Amino acid sequence: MRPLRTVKLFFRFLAQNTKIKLEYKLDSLILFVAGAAMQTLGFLFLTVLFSKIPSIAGWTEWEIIFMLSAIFISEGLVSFAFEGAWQITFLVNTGELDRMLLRPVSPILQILTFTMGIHGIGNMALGAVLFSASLAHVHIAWTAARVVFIPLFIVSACVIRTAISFAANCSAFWLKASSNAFPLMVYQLADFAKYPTSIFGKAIEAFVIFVVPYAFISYIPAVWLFDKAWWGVFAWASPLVALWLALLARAVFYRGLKAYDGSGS
Amino acid sequence: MRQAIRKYRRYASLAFQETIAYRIPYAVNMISIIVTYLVIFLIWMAVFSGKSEVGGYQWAEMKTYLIISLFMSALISGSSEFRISRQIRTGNIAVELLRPADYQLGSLAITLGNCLSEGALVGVACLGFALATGPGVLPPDAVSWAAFALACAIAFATKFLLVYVFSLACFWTNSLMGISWLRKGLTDFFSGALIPLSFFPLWLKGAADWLPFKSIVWVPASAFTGRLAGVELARALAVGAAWAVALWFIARFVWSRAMRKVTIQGG
Repeated sequence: MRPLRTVKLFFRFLAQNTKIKLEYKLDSLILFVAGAAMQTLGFLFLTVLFSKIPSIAGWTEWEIIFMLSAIFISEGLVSFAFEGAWQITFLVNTGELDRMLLRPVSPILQILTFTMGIHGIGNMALGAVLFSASLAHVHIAWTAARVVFIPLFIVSACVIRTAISFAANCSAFWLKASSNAFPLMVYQLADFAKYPTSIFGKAIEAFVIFVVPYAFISYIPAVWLFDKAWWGVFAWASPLVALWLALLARAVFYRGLKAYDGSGS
Repeated sequence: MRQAIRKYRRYASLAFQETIAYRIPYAVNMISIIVTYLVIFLIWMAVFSGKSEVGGYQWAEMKTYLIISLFMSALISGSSEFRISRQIRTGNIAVELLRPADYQLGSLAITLGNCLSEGALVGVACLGFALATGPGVLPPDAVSWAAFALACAIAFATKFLLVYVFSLACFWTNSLMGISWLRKGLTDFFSGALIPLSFFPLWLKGAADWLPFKSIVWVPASAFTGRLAGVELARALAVGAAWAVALWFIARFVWSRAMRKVTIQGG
């Protein structure tokens, strides 16, 4: 019963948040355009770069565009559905969190759905276009396993991203500062997963595989799909990595709650 | 006149002290710029590995270009957009309107103050990075150095005015986020911060040539490496200066429109 109720509530919250956002028509339009424009510029960057060279570290243009589009899709989905993770600092500082703790609904669900990111729609739309375009250009030896793998890794990528952002934002419980830039710094590490991570050197590669495992949202899955190296098969661990991070983020949150003592107002 | 200069110098010196007092937001902004550049730098390094030149560039020149690009991006931070948008959204702009000072000049002075306090640190960091990564290229003569200095001044004016005009859009919207992303994305791409404009296909280069963004990175960095020189450089500087003047008046126009529209929420 409870999981079903959570899912139902999630969609109710999402619908309400979407209505709220759409009230601000100009803001929504700008965010939508900004989301799509940023991704277009990322795509143009690669196109211009590859007009002068055939490949980078053995990766072709469309293989990298495939990685980039997978990132756009998961980024878009996460901003659309779970943007609330970025509001933890605000909720803690204003004491708004008190209200959530009193309600008979999981505080994690309430936080994640506290707001929605309209720009996520722009990201997803452009991501989907580039994703299908890149599938037409790259060479993948299609098997049933590879077909099944694509939705699996995208869902895992969403969970991984959400868990990392959520856990990083939980630092607000301990920092108690009016603004918190730590999560943004963590978020930015995903830049290393937008490209074949091996080009950044062993240290960075190890970091985004083992410490902040952004490599699982695009790089390792791409290694497996394009058959770049034997260890690509570890891409199948993405759901496990996602589960592990989700549990970890949950634990961090409840540890954080212990350090939380309201805003005093 | 002298009094006016004293007034805005005070703005600048307060901003200078403020940056030193509130180090954390500044440090975070810096780290975020450095991560972005580290990614770009390492990609370019991978592109050049095993090649003596790409698109007419040798690694030493590309490396120098990227470091100057980092220097320009870090030197003139966009932090004033947070201040301006916050003042607009909270209604604190009302206090600013009461001051016997011009808001645009005041913002310019504050940005200049920030720039001066951050400049030394950014310069040292870039120099250290340049020395640590092997040989680069230097401006060939005194004229090039002078042109580079002039290009930096134009870059400063252009970036400040772009940030300022985009921030004023907050009079019509409720949040800065989309506006800020759009400005940053357009600046990073069309200024040549990530990829020199000479790599662009013709249609895109045509667009970049007529937009103001190229004054922020492409012109100063290419003046530094000597790629832009002579008549071509003079033309680029003239176009950049013209854009800066035009943006100054565009900002004035947007401001006057905003003043007709502004409603301060009571509190």
